[in-house]
Amino acid sequence: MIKKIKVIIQIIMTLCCVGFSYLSLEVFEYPSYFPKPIYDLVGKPLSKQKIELGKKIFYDPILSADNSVSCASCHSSYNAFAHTDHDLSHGINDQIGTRNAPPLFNLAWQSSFMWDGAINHLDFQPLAPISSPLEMGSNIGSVVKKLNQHHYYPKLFYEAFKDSVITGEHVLLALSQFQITLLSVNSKYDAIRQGVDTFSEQEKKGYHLFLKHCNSCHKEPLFFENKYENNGLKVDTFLNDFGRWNITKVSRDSLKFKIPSLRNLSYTKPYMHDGRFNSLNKVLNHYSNEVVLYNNLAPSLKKGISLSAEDKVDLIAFLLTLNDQKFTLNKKHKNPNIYP
Amino acid sequence: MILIISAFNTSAQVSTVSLNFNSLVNNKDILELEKPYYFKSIQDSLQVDVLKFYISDVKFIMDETILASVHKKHFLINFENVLSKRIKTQISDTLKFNKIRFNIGIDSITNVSGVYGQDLDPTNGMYWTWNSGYINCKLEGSSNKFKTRKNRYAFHLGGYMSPFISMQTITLEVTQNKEIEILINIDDFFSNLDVTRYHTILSPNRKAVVVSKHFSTTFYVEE
Repeated sequence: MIKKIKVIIQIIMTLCCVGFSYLSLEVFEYPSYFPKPIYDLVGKPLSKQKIELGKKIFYDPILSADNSVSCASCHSSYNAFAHTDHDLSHGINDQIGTRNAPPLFNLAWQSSFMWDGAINHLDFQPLAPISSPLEMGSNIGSVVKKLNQHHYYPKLFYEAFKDSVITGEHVLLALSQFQITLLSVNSKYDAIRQGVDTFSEQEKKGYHLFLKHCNSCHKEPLFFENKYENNGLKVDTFLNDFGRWNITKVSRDSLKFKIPSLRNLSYTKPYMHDGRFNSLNKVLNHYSNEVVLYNNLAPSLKKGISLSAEDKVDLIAFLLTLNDQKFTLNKKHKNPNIYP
Repeated sequence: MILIISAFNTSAQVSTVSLNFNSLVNNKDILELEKPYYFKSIQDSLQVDVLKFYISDVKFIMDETILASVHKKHFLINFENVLSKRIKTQISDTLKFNKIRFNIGIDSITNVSGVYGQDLDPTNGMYWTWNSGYINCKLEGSSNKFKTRKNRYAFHLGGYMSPFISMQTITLEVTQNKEIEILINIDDFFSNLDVTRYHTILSPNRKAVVVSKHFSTTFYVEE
């Protein structure tokens, strides 16, 4: 009898909890032609409070040792959360990092992070810039300490997690929740996929060139793959960055970098892991003329990509249909201006 | 048969089993951090400043049968914090076991499943920030045996990806089921270590796997 009552109480409590949290649950919607997301939201459902909290933290320089650098310092919403015109990322005391800050969108489909895939889960990604002496120069322990002493963060964490004692887990979960909502799904390409727009003749030619030469790595509709490839770039002898090899120490991974998305290219220049190319023309020139024939070169580049001047213009016309201005102008992602 | 001992299960007669982790110096003194000892085994003085490691998936076994598991999966044993050196659990009185089995470290599934709290919270300093993965064990200190800067040694042992998987599973025999004293033979660890080759390990690599295996062999149960 006692057991039965216990079970009933447990069921009622569970229902109460579910009912309560449903008040703020957000549905994660994405286009029907997208694959299933990789980030597992089952145990970590999106909630408005967590997303808003994550956004505040994202824009708050409290994350850095001297309160000067926030995530948004190198990931600007206006640039699809990349850092336009900066080849390498910046950090505290005007330090320069070693890689180009990648744009942030459609992260729920990404299985690893950083150009070398050093980070295995979105939740853990913020630990890298927070701890890097060239970026925020802090550590999650002191961030949590600062947040706990803050005059309003404990209240916001209570609203989001029902716990006013701030933990590393909750800081990282809130940041993940905000970043997952950074969806770029409203480009012209998407409108075409949804049947409400059409390619121009030039864009259509470019699309066919894309399918022939680019789609094997920058696979539509996400336009990236969770893989690493050597795309034939000369080694920058100052940075000496060997990409994936830095993590695995396996020679076949030498000079392999994560395949980035081709969405929003107009806002995310310069390109490549070290931001070496400041225009799409230069990128296409690299692929058509300058690829270094390494042993472990991406298979699709081995036979060379031949593009006429006209092909290049057509291909770029198609690539521009992947720009998503609704995303870069989305007010929901902007700085919530936490210092009134 | 695996029985999960849950906090709600109070109907059967249960008693408390406690696993107490300690380390003895020269087989007699309980190791304290940041205190130099003369180690007979290495004929030199040595001090340990940091000793923390994860214990996970604790199981109670009779011969080859797993009778029960500790409900909580991961424990951070930190020698700086006396309370953390004891894992307490409730187990049914009818279950008699003669072995315990556990992992030293964090399994690969947990390593790739995103952030967790409590003992796994990254604020515990047991998570690598530049290359995802838990640090299974941190052992740091100094001794003249080490010909390094300030004679320091630092072992941050981890790695969950092949070929550098450093988590170890060990099985220890026990003679009683109440207070189980698990000791780390720190003398053995240092006297059987090639200190010229192994002194500073801060990333997942072959050396980390070698030293993790060696560390796991120094665990024993006090009779």
